[in-house]
Amino acid sequence: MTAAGWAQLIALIVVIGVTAPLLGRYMANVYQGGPSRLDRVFGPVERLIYRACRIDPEREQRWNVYALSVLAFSVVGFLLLYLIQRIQSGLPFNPTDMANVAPALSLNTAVSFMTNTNWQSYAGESTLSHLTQMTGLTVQQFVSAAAGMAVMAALIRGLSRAGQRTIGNFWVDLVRTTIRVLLPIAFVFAIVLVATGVIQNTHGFTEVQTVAGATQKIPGGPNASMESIKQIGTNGGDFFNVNSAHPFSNPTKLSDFFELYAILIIPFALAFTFGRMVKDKRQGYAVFVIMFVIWLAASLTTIFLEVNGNSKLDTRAVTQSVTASSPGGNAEGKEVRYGPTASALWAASTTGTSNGSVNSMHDSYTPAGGMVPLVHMKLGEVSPGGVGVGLNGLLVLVILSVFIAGLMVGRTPEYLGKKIQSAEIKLVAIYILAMPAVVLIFVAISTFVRSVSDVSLLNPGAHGFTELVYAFTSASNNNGSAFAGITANTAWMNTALAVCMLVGRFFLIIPTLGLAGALVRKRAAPPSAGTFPTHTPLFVVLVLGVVLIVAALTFLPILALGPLVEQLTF
Amino acid sequence: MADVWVLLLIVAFFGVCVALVRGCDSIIGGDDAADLGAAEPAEADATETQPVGVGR
Repeated sequence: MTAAGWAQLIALIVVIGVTAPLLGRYMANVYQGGPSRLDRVFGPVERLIYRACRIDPEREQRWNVYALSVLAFSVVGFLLLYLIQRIQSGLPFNPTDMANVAPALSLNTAVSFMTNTNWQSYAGESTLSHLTQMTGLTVQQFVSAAAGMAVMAALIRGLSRAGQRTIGNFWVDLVRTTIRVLLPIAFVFAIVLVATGVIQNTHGFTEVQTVAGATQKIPGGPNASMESIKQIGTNGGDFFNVNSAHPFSNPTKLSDFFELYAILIIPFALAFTFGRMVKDKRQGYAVFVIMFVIWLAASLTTIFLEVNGNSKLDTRAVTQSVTASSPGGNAEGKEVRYGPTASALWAASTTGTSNGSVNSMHDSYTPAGGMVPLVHMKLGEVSPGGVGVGLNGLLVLVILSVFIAGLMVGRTPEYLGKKIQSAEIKLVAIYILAMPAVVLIFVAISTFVRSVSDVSLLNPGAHGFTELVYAFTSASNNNGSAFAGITANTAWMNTALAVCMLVGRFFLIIPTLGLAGALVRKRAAPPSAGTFPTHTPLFVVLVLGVVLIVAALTFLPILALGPLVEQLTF
Repeated sequence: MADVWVLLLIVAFFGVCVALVRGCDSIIGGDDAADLGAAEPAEADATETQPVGVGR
């Protein structure tokens, strides 16, 4: 790893370490509804929305009403996005004359953006109109992220309140998250991106003559505004097909650094939000450390595997060392302007945050190097996780860890003074089993589907199997990144992946809200000599062990058939 | 016709989600009066909205 690579990693850690607590404190105030100097700016906008939508911000909801509100909002979002795609050729702001999108692809795309997955079976610049990208996809990138953060706020209220029945108001949480958190940050970040060279215009294709005399079509579009919320909201869906490897989306190493920061900042900051909302900052620190340790381990492992290069090329006189014109390492599928370090850091960060963007092709990583992002997703994307949903996942695993610790010492498990009993553990079990179930079932079925082997998979053997596992893991974890090397725009893949995205979103959100509803009723017992502390290094290690063991027990066999066997035969 | 199948798929899925909400509600069980604070009446209907609680 070069000095520049170390500098980038350390700079990223320092900037996040400095700014995450500040943003976390701000977001805690947003969710607690406390007074803010920004009320004068945001208050009137919120009140206007409440009046227009007939929302009573003073009325709170029980967990089941909150869950039904999430479902209703998501259905409407899906229908709107589906409709826009199906009739886009007749709608305005279509300078590239895009045709209507086919039903299966519209289904996949609408589900993908409604669930915050941003899996892209389509190529943006050759499939969707500017109107679809702006009013369809970009709007969903805001509100799907806000919905995930709203659910997180509800879960934290479930943990922090005692003897109550309500966990907040979904519509208020949704509006406040969008107006007070996502919109202002995305606005500022879009300007930063434009400054680094990301395009923002209303052009269609511009025909230019190249130096060699050929004609080339240069795409245009409102990209920076989409790029900013794509990263801030851990969405990942890009205006262009090659995503953040495209020079109009991520033109320089500086833009790469800013975008990486944008991907990580809110998920890490939410750990501090959690600590403040439960009125015990130490709990937030513990959660932050768990997130950070897994993210750093995944990042360093991927970096070192890719920086060391491809051992098969060593025997073919291919230079993989760092030179004045080459960043060295395993260069296949990577942009020269980022090199293996920034590419691998991006791969590890996006797969830990449910952000589906890529700045390199994971399919071209070494088998072990490509396995790390895959495993990172299989851990449940809790390091630091998608906005809101990542913290939810980690808190569910924390509750499971508390339960296991309670079993080991023979005491009733407690978390933040709340007894963890049968109902909570049943909900935790639903949460933990839903994602692996759809991954394993749909991978198994897909291996028998003729279109998968004949059309979708572009590689045979273990590598092709890894492509398939990656696709379903990405969809089921609402990540959205692709391993590449797979043709996903088929009827089977579009439909199967859509079902995985739906299950991966709502079969996790519902038990999470159920957990909030179960916990909010309980009274908090004061800590006693027998209370197992949940802010100590010992507890951090316990949770890390639980995260790894749950994933290993579930996915080791399927990994053995894919990347592990490929690495052993490499 | 394909649009109809898509709509049916979505309706079916969200129907399952509503069933899951009810299933989770049955897992949680009825309100335990001993666990509820005095400020929240225990007899409220399961689907109604509640005023802001005292812990806000």
